[in-house]
Amino acid sequence: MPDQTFPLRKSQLWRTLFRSKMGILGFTMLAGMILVALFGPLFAPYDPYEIPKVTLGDIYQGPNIRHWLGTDDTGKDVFSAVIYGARVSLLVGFAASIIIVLLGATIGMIAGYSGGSVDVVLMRITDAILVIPSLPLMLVIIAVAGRGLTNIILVIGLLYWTYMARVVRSQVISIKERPFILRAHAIGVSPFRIATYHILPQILPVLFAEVVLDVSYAILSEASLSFLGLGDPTIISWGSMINRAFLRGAVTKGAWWYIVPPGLALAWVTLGLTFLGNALQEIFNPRLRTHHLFDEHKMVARARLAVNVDVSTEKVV
Amino acid sequence: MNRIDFLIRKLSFSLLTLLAVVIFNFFLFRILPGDPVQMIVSPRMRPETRERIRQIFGLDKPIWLNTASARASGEVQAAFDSQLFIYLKNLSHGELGESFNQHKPVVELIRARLIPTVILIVAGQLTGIVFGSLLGLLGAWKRKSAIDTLTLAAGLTAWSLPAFWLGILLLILARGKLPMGGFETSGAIFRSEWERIIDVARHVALPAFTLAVLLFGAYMIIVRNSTMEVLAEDYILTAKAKGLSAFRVLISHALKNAALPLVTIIALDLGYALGGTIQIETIFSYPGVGSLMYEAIGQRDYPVLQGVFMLLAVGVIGANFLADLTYALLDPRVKT
Amino acid sequence: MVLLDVKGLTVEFHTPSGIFRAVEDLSFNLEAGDSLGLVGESGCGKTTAMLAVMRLLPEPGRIVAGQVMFEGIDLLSLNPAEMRRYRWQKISMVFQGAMNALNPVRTVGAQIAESIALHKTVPGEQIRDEVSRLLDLVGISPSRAGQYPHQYSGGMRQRAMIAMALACRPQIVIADEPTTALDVMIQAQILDLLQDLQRQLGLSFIMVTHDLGVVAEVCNHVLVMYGGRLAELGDSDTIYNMPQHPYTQRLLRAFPDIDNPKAELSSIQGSPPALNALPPGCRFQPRCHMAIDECSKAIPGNYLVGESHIVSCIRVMEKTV
Repeated sequence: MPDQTFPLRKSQLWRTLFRSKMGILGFTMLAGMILVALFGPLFAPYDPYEIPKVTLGDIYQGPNIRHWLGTDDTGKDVFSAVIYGARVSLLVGFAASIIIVLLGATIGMIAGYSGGSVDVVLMRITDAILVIPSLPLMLVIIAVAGRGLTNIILVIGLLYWTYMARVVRSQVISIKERPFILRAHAIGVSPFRIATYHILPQILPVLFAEVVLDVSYAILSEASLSFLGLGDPTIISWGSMINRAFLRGAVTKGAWWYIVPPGLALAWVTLGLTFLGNALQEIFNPRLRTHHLFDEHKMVARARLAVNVDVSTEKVV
Repeated sequence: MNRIDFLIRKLSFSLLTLLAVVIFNFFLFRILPGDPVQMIVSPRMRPETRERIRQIFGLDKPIWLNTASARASGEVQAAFDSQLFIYLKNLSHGELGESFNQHKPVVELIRARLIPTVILIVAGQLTGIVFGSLLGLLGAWKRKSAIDTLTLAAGLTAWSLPAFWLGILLLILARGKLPMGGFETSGAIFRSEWERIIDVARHVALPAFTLAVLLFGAYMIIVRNSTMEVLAEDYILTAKAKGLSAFRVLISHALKNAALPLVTIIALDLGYALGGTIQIETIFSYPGVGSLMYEAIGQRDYPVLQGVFMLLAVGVIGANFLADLTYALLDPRVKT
Repeated sequence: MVLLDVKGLTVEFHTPSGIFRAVEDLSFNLEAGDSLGLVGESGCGKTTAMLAVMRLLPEPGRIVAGQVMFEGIDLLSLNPAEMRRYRWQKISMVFQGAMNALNPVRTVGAQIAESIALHKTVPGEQIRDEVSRLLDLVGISPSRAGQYPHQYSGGMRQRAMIAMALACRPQIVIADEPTTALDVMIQAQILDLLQDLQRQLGLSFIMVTHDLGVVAEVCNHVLVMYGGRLAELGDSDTIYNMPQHPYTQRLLRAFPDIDNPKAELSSIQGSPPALNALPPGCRFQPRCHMAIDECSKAIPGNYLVGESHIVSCIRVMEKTV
């Protein structure tokens, strides 16, 4: 049965992406959140960094006309806080992903291209980092090194590059045996040039699919760190909002409006990235399109697909 | 592939990683701006305790190697009278220092809270694995059908949810129906062991369910992908050609092959599960090592942080080795 | 007595990149005791046709027309449960590339036993003996039943597949490229084995292959396929000595002839048609040395030339005129 050949052309890429409902959904969700992060603060009704003058009655208000998502325990508007929080999460996500790509792709390429002992050593290091539980490790590092957005971004980047390295490495390994690479070798092109001019463009699609997923991991990690009290104390992030809610008794007071929206926003952006990332992976690294165990009722399709085939009768010659 | 070689390779990897973690742990709490000693000894401690810790960990000695002492005495082994090697020796004896706040050895604190965490993880993992695998298998079989899309969406969604948020939501939803936290109803008197078990189960149910939901997504996707690959293999065609029904083919031929990667994934995912456990225990006030770590964060209790981290890292490294062992036993292609 | 009667079988693959018609209007029959060789180049549809007969097509495959009559029953009209009873017990298959056709995590003996137990051809206690008997039949020591496929050599695996295919004493065995990817010595062994078994057990079989030499040795009828359609069908003597279809002629010329070792081997220029963009006329016309204008206008019918010799080419008519 004919197979699809790669690499895909750009036009084919957009068409296939849009054929994937998951891809469209993920893309839309992500785009929505990016818009909120970029322009939301312009339209937010309040500035969540301003300390409002409040009376006792303003604390933990339920959703109302003046505060669409109610207020928190200091009377601040939850809706605005959620909007501002988008910037933090996305900033962390994208900033960390830069480190992940630079570090992970480089190491992955070196390991995959060199092979031999260089590969073994690099992969052992990568595996060692992968084995250690990530959140506990991040916890101890931040606890010692100090809370702050830069630290968080660094720690996430320095831990998650390993995922990218593995993916890039396996792609490089499968590409480096291809004829056009071997030919470039034979002509005498330098390994560095082969890596950057020939191999790199080929791995970009898979790299991109992986980075989308890595951004989601980064965002969730920052949220978890903030929830556990190790977020940047000067910044309002979704994780820190839920942390405050939890510590200030929002659960017992039943102040769901302080808890649900930030988490929902987190889930929204993570889900969008996951859907998009998975859809891209399906395109660039497709699962086999065939299997042997499918529904037989579909297989025999004579009645359904009433095809006009002239069953030839034999003519005697 | 030779089975013994395989295991030796994996064992040396585990041991090396362990060593790296240990040294990293040492490094993290000593080479930092300010007085590194404040990570091990705190003004909050009683003076006698402070002195004892200073002795045990040799906090007045050089950090890496005691070259001065070696030169003075002329013996090589005097060089190992440094903080690093004292630390390693202490570690092998289970000496993890003393908590800043609770005035008890770290080991004791951990030991007291270990069992609840183990129960939580086992319960959560088992549930997550069973449901994840079943749905993953189903999804791969009924590919591109409504069931597949639904399970895939459910799995991806579960995978994307923040653990702490999910926990809080469930906590709010379960108000009045299940205990709000803790491991056992305090002060309760049980008429039988069975009643006690039921009580614990009621407390573990919600946290374990949260963990299961978190993990189910990961397992479902992995089993689904692995099954899809298996279903494209030739021996599946052979099985079907023999006249086996689709169900039989799945169970007798696809399952074992598709499940092999699961063994390694369970161990790898343990790290992720531990991260979730910390959050879950915090939310449900569940007295395990996860919430111990959380409390230590809040109180800047560095010895406890260090100790729990070591425990978790060792646990995951050990689990990974066990998984490799199991894999070697299950896959007949890895044989002597 | 006609065992298998295939009429107008048409198979398509419905993929996102288009509909590929792999087999079109294939008709042939198989009598008891026959050995039919199904030949053609890679991609001509021979394996797909056989998979369709057993309703074992992979995912986007669809049987869109035709009938597969086995002992008077149309297999395509059965429901899946009924079809499963026919599989292996009436018709079995030896697959191409037996390397991966056996489950690597189960023993060979268990896999053979599985089919016997499923179709209950032999009572439970005797299954073990039956497995030993089958292994012995194909020249494998029965003590190896407890071993795993990776512990067998390539040739042994193929023989084990044959043993498994015979486990339920089927009436028809379809062998899909049974000797490809095996070295020549083993090839000869396998072919001898197949012939022996045919004599001993009175089997009918269909051998799918692109190797005309194998067909010449083992089969008494030959069906040549091209571009998913039947090109020529007849008994071996006729096909080898008096091929009428231009494709068959060129195919034979492309094979070395032991009686004429110095003759030049010719290849056929061009490549097979794209199955999702089939030409309106004869499939072979673009590469045919005997093509005329009419050839590209309509698909040639199946012409009966002499007794049970069918040729799908309009130019055969001229010979008799």
